[in-house]
Amino acid sequence: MTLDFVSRADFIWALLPEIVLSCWAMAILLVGVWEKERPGLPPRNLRLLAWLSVAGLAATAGVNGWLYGVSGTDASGMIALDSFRLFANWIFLLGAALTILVSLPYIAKQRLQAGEFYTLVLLATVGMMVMAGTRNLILLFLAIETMTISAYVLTAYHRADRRSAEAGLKYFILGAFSSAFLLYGIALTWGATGSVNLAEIAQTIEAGAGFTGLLMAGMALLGVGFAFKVGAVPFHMWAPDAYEGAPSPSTAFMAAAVKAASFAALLRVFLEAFPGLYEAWYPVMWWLAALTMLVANLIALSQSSVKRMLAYSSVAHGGYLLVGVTAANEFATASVLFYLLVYTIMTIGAFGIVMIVSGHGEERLQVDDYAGFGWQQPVLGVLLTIFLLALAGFPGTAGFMAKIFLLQGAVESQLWTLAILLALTTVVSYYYYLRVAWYMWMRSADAGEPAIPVVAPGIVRFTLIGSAAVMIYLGVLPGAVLEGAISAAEHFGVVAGEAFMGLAR
Amino acid sequence: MTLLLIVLLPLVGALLPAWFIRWGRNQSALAAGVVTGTAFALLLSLSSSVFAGEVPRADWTWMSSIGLSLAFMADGLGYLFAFLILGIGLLVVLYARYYLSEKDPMGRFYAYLLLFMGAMLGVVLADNLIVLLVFWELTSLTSFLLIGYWKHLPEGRQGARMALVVTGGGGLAMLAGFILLGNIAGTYQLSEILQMGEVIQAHDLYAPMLVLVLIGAFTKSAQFPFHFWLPHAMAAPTPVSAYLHSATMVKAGVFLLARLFPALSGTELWFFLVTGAGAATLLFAAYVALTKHDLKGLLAYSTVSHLGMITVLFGIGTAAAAVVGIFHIMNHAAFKASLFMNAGIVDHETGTRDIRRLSGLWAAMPITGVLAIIAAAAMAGVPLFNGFLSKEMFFEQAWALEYQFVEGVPWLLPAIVTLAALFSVAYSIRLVWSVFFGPQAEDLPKPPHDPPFGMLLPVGILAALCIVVGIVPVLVAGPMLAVAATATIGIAPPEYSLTLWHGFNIPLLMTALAFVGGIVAYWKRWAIIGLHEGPLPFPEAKRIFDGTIDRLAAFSHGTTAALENGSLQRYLALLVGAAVVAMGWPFLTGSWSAGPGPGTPLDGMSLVVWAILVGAAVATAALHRRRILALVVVSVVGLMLALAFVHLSAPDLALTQLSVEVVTVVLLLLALHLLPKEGPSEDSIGRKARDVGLAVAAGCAVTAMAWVILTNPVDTISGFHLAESYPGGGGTNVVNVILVDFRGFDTFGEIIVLAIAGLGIYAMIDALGVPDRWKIGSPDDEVRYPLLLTVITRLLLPLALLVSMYLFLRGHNQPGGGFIAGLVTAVALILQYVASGIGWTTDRFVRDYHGAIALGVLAAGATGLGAWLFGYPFLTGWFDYFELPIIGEFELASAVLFDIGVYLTVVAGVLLMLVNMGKIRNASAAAPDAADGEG
Repeated sequence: MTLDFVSRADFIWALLPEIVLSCWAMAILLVGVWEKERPGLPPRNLRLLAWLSVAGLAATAGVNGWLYGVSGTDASGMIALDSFRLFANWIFLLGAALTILVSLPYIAKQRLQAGEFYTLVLLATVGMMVMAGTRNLILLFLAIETMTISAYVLTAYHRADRRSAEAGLKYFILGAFSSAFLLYGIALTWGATGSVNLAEIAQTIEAGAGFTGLLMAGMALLGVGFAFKVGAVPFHMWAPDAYEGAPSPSTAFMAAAVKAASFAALLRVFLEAFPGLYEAWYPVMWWLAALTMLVANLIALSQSSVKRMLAYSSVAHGGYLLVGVTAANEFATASVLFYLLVYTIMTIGAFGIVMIVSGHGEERLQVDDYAGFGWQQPVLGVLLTIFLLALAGFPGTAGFMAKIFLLQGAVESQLWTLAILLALTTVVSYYYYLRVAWYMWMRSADAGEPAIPVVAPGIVRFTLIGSAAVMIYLGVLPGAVLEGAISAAEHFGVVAGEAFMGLAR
Repeated sequence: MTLLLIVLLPLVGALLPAWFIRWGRNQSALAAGVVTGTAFALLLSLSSSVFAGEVPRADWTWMSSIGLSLAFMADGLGYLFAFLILGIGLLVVLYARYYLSEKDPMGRFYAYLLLFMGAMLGVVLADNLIVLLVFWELTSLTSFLLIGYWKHLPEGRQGARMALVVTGGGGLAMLAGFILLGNIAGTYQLSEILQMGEVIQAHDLYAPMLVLVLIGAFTKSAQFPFHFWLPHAMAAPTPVSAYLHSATMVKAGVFLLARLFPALSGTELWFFLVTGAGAATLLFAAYVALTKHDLKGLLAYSTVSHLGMITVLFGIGTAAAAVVGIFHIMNHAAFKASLFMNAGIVDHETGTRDIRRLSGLWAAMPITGVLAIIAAAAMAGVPLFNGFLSKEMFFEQAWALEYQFVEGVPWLLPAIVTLAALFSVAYSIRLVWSVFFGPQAEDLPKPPHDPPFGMLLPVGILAALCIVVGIVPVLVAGPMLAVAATATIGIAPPEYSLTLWHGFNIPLLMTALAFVGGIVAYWKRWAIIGLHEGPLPFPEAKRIFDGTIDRLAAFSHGTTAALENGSLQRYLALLVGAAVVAMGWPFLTGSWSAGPGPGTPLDGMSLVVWAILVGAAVATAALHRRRILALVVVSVVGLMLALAFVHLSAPDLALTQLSVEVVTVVLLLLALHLLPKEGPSEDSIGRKARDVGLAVAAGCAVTAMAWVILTNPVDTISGFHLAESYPGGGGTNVVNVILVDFRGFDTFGEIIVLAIAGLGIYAMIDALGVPDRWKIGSPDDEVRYPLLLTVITRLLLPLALLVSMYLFLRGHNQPGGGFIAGLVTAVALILQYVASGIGWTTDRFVRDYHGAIALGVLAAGATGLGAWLFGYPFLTGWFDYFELPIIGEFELASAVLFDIGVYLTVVAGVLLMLVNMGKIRNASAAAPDAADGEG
C-alpha cells in the first residue's frame, strides 16, 4: 500500500497505530469508571483492565507490523512512514506492556486506580509513538506534552504518599520550564527557516538560507529542552528525585519508555533537521555525553537505595546513548535503537524485582535489605542478577552487545575519547550494580530478620523470566534485531554520514 | 567442531555435578571428572595435527554487520594453555573431592569450577577479540563465585568482590583497547591481526590502545600496581587457589601478552610498560613473599613475583625472550599448583597455615614433605628441577638487553632479577624448612598425618613432572614448547638450548649469587620481616584500594550534595542558567546582531505604561511572600497588558485579556484562601543574589532576542487572515473569525480543556473530603452579607447579562464573541455569589454546571460535525444572509452556533471552578489532616 496523502483517509492509515491506541485508552478509561470504588480494596476488575490494556498494546503492535507494508510517496511529510518510527514503536509498546504486567500486584496492593493508571500509560505511549513518527515540530511538541503530562501524573500518582506528590510537583515545574525552552526553540527555528517541517528545515540550512544566529539560538534551546527530557547532565536533576519519589511502576515506565521516546525524538530532530549543523552541535553533545557518563556513574556509587541507584544508572545509560547520538553515523544510530530496546527490557525487569522485594510498596529499598535474598528466592535472585549484569554490560547479556555496538558506532566516527570514557565509566558501574548482587548472594540477612515476604503471581514471574531470557538471547544472538535496527537507521545514516565527511577528528 | 565442543562441554557439563550431588559426593566428583576428562581427550585428539604445525579452526558467522564471528583456533599457544587448563583441572577435581569437607556444598563447587574451566578455554582458544573478551569477563565472574565460595568467611566475600572489580574492570579497559585495535586493524579476527604488527605499531592510536590492553592483562595477572587483589583472593578454598591463582586465571594476563606478542611487541613503549611493570612486580612481590607468615599468602606473593618474571620476558620483546616466557609458564604451572595443593594438605591435616606455628611436620607427614621439597626446589631454581632451566634462560635474557631503563646503567635489570631470585630462594627455603623441619610443633589444632591417597596423587604427578622436565627437558617439554613458541612469535623460534649445562657464564654467576644470598636472607629473615613490619611503612594495597573506593564514595557524596540537594530552586537555577547560556551563545559568538528594521516611536503614554509594567513585575517578585499583595500587583501587570493591546489596536485581545484577568484573579484569590497568608522565608542572601542575577540575565537574553527578531525583516501571516476573513468566514472581526472558523478546531480543543479543568477542580476539591460543615452555604452558615453590595449587584446582573449578550451577538464583526461574552456572564454571576452567598444564589440559578458544560461542548461539536453532512471537512464554516422584517438584513453563520457552544462551556466551566473553590470557608478546613475520609 502506498500513501500519497491526497485523500484525507491516508492520514488515518498512516496514523493507525496511534489512533487505535488512543481509542483503546479511552475505552479503558470508561471500563475503569464502570467499577464502583470500594474503599480499602483493589478494584475488582484490575486484572480485566490490565489484560485489556495489554491487548490494546498488542493490537497496536499488530497495526504497527502492518505498517511495514505501507510506504509513502513523500519522504518529508508530516507523518514519517519509515522503519525508524516503527522500530521505535516496538520499544514503546514493549515498555508499556512490560510495565503493566510487572506492576499488577503493586497496583492491587497500593489500591491505585487501575483504569486511570493504565489509560495514562497508554496515552503516554501514544505521545511517544507520535514523537518518533512526526516530522513536524509543532506536532512533536504536542506529542512530547502528551507524554510528559501523563508522566507528571504517573509520578504523583500515589496521592497518599508525600514523596510521590513532591516528586510529581518538582518534575512538573522543571518539566514545564524545559517544555517552554523547547517551544521557544521551535519558535526560533521556525523564525529562522520559515518552516516547522524537519525536512524543509534541513533543506533551508543546506541551501545556506535563513538566519544563522536565530537558528543557532533555536537549535541551542531545542538542545536544552531535549537534554532535559533525556536527563543529560547538567539537566538531569529532576530524574533522581522524580524516579525515587514516584511509585515504582511509574518509575520503571519513565526510566525506560519515556527516556527511549525522548531519544527517538532527539535523533529524529537533530539527524533529520540539523545534519548540516553537525559541526555546531557535535561538541555540545560530546560534552553532554562525557559529563553524563562521568557524573551519573560517580554519584550512583554512593547511593544506598536501590531505587535511587537505578535512577542514576538510568541517567548514566543516557550518557552512553548520547555517545551514539554524537557519533551520528548509521551504525551508531542503529546501535542507539538497539540499546534502547535492550535498556527498556532490562530496566523494567530490574524494577519488577525491586517492586517484589519492596513488597509492592516503598519499603525495603535499601541495598542492605537485599542481603540473602538470592538464597531465599533463587529464581528471582537469578533473574535480578541477570538484569543487573545486563545493566552493567556483562558479556553474555544483551547489555554487553548493546555497549559493543555503541562503541563500534563511536569508533566509526572516530570518537576515541568518548569510546574509552564509555568503557571506563562502565567499570565504575560494575561496582554499584554488582554490589546489589553481592548482597543478594554473599551476605546473609541478620539473624532474627524475617525472610522477605514475596508476592509474585505467575504472570509477573513469567514476564520477568521472559525478559531475562530475551536478555540472554540478545546477548548471544543479537543479529536479527540489530539488522532491524540498522535498516531503521538507514535513512539517517546517509544524512549524518555526509555531514560528517571531513570532520573526522 | 571439536574446538567448540571442548569449550562448550565444561560450560554445559557444569550442570552435571550440581545434579549428581543428590546421589552423593563421589558421584558429583565423578561427573565433574568425566566432563573434564572428555574435554581433555578431545583436546588430545587434536595433538597430532597441532604438533604437525597445523592450526585447527572453527568459525561461525555471528554478526556480519560488524564483522564478528564465533571463531576458535587451537594453535600451539592455545593448545598449550588448553592442555594446562584441562590437565591441571583434572587433578584439581580429584584433589577437591578429598579437600572439601562434608558441610561444603560440593555440587555447587564443581559447577562453578567447570564454568570457570569453560570460560578459560574460551579465552585461550578464541580467534576473535570480542569472543576472547566475552570469555575473559566470564572468567572474572566465575572466579568471583569460586573465591566467594565459602560464604561464611567475610574475607572471602571481600576478596571476591575486590577481585571482580579489579579484573572485571580491567577487562572493560581492555574492551576499549580491543575496539581501538579492531578499528586500527579493520578486523577483530585474531589470526589476521597478528599478521599486521607493523601497521598497528605505526598507527596514531597505538599508544592509548596498548595502555588499555595492558591494563586488562596486568589486572588479570596481578601485575604491579594491580597486584593487590590476588593475596586477598586467597580466602578461596585451596583447590581454587591452586587452579585459578597459579595455573590458569592469572596466567590469562600473560597469555594475552603472548597472544598479542606479534602484533604489539617490539616497540620502546611496549618494553618500558611491560618490562617495567614486570620488573617492579618481580622484585617487590618476591620481597613481600618472604615476610608472609601465611603459607598461602607466601605462595600468593611468590605467584605474583613469578608472573612478573614472565611479564619481564615478554616485555623484552625478542623472540628468544618470548620462548623463555612460554617455557616458564609451563614450569610455573607445574610447581606452583603442586605447592598450593601441598599447602592445602598441610592446612587440612593440621588446621593451620601459619608458618610460625607449623614446625617439624616431617615426622608426621613425610610423603607430603618430600613432595613439598621437590616443588619448592623447582621454585627456587635448583638444578635438575624444571625451574632451574627457565630461570637460567631468564638470566641470560635479562643480561642481553636491547633497551635500557636508565641510560648508562645496563646492570639495573640484571641486578633486580638477581635480587628477586635471592628472595625467591629464601622464601622457598622458608616454605620447606620452617614447616617440615625443626622441633616438632606441640599446639597444632589437629594431630598431623599424611593425607588420603587421592590428595597426594595430584601433588605427586605435578612434582614428578618438575623433576622429569628438569632432567630431560628436550624429551618431555621440547615439542610442546616448540609449537607454542612458534605460535607465539609468529615465526620459527630462534635457536635455544634446553640443556642443563651451558658452561661457566654470567647467568650461572647470578644463580650462585642468588643461592648464597638467599640462604643468608633466610637465616636473617626475622630482621627482614621486622624491617617490613616495623620501620618501613609499606603501603598496604588493600588499604589503598579501600581508601580509593572510600574517597570516590566521599567525592560522590559531595557531588550529590552539591548537585542533588533536593532543592527545586537549585535545579531551576541550573536549568535557567544553562538556557541563558544557550540563548546568549549566538550573540557572544557574534553570529547574530540587530537588523535594520525601523524603530517604533516612543510616546509619553507608552512610557508610563511601560514603567508601571516593569515596576509591577519587579514588585511581584519582591513581594512574593505576601501572597495577596503579590496577587494584587500581578493583576496590575495584566491590566497594563490589556492597555498595551488597546494601544496596539487589538481591542479583542484587550477585552479577552481583561475578562480573563478578572476571572483568574478571583480564582487565584480563592486558591490563596486555602494557603497560609505568607510564604515561608528560606531565602539566604546568596540565593537571592544568584536569583536576581539569573533573572536579569534571562531577561536581557530574551530582550536581546526579541529586539533582534523585531528589527530583522520577517514575513507575517496577518495579511492572509485580513484578506480571507470576510470572504472565507463571513465576519469582519478577524480575531473572532480566526477563533471560530480558521482555527475553529483549536478553539474546540480549548473549550474542552476548559471544561476538563473545571471538572478537574471539582473532582479535586471533592476528593479533599472537606466535611460539609466547613463549607460556606451549609445550614449552620452565619455569614452576614453587606446589604448595599447585595442590592447593587442584583441591579447590575441584568445589565451585565445584556452587555454579554451584546458582545456575543456582534462578536462576528466587531470586538466580542462567545468567549468574552461567556467570561462576562460568569463574572456577573460570581458577583452574586460573593454578595449574596452561595445558598441564595444556587437556589435561584442553574446548578447543573456539568450538564451545561456537556451541552456547550456538544453544541460546538455538533456544529463541526454538521459540516460533514454537507460533505465538508469537520468545522467548515457556513454563512448566509436573510431578510428579516424590521431588523433588515441578517447574517446567519454556523459559527454562531459554534459560538453558543463556546459561550455555554465558558460560563459553566468558570462557574464550576469558582463556586467549588469558594465553598471552603477557611484554610484549616482544606488541610489534609482535617480531612477525614481521605486515606
